[in-house]
Amino acid sequence: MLWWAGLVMSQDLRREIKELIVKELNLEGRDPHAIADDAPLFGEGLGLDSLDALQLAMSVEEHFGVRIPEGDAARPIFKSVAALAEHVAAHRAAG
Amino acid sequence: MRIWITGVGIVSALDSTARGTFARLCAGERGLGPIDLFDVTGQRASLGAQVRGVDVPKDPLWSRTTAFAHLAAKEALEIAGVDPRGARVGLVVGGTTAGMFENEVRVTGMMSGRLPLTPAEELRSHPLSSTADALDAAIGPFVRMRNVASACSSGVTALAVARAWLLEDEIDVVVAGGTDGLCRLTLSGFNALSAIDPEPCRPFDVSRRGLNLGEGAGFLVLERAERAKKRGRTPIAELAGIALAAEAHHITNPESEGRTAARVMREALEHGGIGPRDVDYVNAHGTATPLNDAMESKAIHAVFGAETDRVWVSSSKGQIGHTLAAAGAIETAIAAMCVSERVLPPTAGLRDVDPACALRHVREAVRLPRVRAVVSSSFGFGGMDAAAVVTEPELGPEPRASRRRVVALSAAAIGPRGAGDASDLTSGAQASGAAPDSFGLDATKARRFDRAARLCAAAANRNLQNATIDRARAGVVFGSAFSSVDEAAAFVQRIFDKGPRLASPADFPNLVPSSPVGHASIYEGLLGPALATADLRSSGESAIATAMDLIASGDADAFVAGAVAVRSKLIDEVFHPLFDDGATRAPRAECCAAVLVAAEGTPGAIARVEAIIRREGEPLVLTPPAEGARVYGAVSAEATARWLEATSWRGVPIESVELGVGDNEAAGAAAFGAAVRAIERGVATEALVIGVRASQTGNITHAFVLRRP
Repeated sequence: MLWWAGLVMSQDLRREIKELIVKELNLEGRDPHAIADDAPLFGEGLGLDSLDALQLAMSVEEHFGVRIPEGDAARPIFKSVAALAEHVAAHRAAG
Repeated sequence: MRIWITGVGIVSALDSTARGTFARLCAGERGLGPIDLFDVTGQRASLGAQVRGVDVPKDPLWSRTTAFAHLAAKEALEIAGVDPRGARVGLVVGGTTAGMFENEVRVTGMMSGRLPLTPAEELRSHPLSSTADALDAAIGPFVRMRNVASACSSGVTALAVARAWLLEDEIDVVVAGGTDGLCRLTLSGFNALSAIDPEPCRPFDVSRRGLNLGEGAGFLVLERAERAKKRGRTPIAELAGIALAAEAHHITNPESEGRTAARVMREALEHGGIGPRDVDYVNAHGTATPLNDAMESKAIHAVFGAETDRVWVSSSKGQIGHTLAAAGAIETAIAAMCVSERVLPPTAGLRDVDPACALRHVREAVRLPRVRAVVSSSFGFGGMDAAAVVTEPELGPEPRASRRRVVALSAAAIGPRGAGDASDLTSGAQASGAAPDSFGLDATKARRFDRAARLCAAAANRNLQNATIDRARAGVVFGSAFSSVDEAAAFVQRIFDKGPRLASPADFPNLVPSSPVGHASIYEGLLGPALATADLRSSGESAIATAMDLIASGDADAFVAGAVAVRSKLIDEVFHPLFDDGATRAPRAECCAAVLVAAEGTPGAIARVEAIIRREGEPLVLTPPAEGARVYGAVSAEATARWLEATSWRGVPIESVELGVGDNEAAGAAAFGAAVRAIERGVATEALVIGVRASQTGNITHAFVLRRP
């Protein structure tokens, strides 16, 4: 694969994840493209909480076939859209 | 007035009697095992406390949930030596599942088109009111019945309503409690929230990972001490205090500091006129979820201070599971037995205490010379917190027994005509269909709301806009006959289609019957009691009557009270026709209506309100109407006129809100709202709101008389 193909894929994946977040978490009126790749998803940033984390984990599993580990192991993966995209890309490729 | 507990009944995974359950609890036995009531393939965790060996009558009105309630209520009445045929006995049932286990496959099939949308008789056990109706026929008659839901604190909420009723002369005894049965929906839902421990649960343990679901019922017989003495009964214990409050914080997560949990414990102790020094034991909610146990430990420390080192604490959930709506009643019954038996049951499953849960844990049953007072706590989804205080008889001072009068301050209705103040519902063109989609709510705050929650929050908001009430002492109650049944069916369908791992964590909390109320409480920051009622066509009337009960008793100073009936395929095509009594021919319509009621003396009163509830065969005795009085009803004027035939209000002009809100199970609240506005505008000098609903054992009439203050 050419190096830029991977970059385009990761951009696509990040966009897909942002759209998933807005749709699944009912962030009505929020523009998915306005979510920064590295912005924290929980606490400050998007202001999401643990119920959102569960919903997002379920949606990622449904949408991408990638499981998010439960509990503290999910923290680094849910750090940002970029971190989540990385996890999805790595595990989708592995699967 | 002192209230004595003269009977208790428990059905749990350990035993189908109170005595048996208590003995096994004290012996440290655990009723946990694999759930095999239904297929659990693909569930993250499926260990639970399933009740075995309880027969369910082959009657469509009955469910396992109701069978549990029947056994427990019967046991409690037998122990108390009370026969509802010989006394004026009321029944309050806390529940969240009713016939969900029996019906979830069928309604899911109907929703997805696999089964025809027809009013199948088998579905009679679906409404939460089915439990009280079945018990009424089996062990009644009860002079009054109420179905309440406040998620996992429903059992204590039922006891609070019962206590309020005992302030009235027309009730001798109340049998009250909670019941819930396991079903696919709750197991999948709690699993979706990662709240279930696949191993036997470990309350307060450093390694705790979640709860185990249980099922069962707990009922208590409550009566005035004076009456119990007169008939020569010794009590099991005294119900010295109860407090209900809402966190107004989050739909699933508790406040981390346990502020409201501490508040209800403190207020329940104050009710009983006793303090932390008098308490020997806390039967904790102790679900074994990481969040609950840490929060609850903080709350116990906050309430008991230096006494925390002395006061014993245990949770029964490692032995009988989390029995949801039954939990608070089962645990209050356990608390009563702790007082009479002077033994405290242990926390099974606790090995290494979490430093965040440092309390005086009961590791093995403890026998004490006296158990003077016990606190039992329950905390439910939506932040619905409750505590009951059970003591030795006459430990504290006798609580005051006066009932407060109630006034109405405002009204609002949302329906096909849009949102309004309920003043224009009795004229104009016939309304039908759905309410408009925009409710003017803050999109961020309301992002988790389903339609019922949006309607309830909007109706609450309209009532509170100009109100000067204290939100710390104001509660919210909405009635709903059938809850969010379309959404419940869709949730279960998704499990069938995609497997339990893909059950939606965000959708599940909205399927708890009290969820719209929880959302409204959070949206408006109402910290008083939050609960739902269910009473078929009288769901609005039952909610307003409950609000009045809890204001009269001092449990709250004000309430937003109303009902909601959402647009729904299953309700329109299946449940409404199944329970239709033909009292109106108006078309179906969506409706949410609510009023603001408060204790007399609150500024801005429009009308003073009095509630009268009668069963068929009992005369409805009303003060004769004044000149210019009017009657307000939710059904046809002909039907309303029939109900008034034998009363002094016969011939008084009747107004019906069926024009403005169509036919639905919330319309009684709209009729009440119309009456409030009629008094306000001088259209009526006084008003009678009347609603009647059918039951197997005869009609139940709710009447409200509104007069200028």
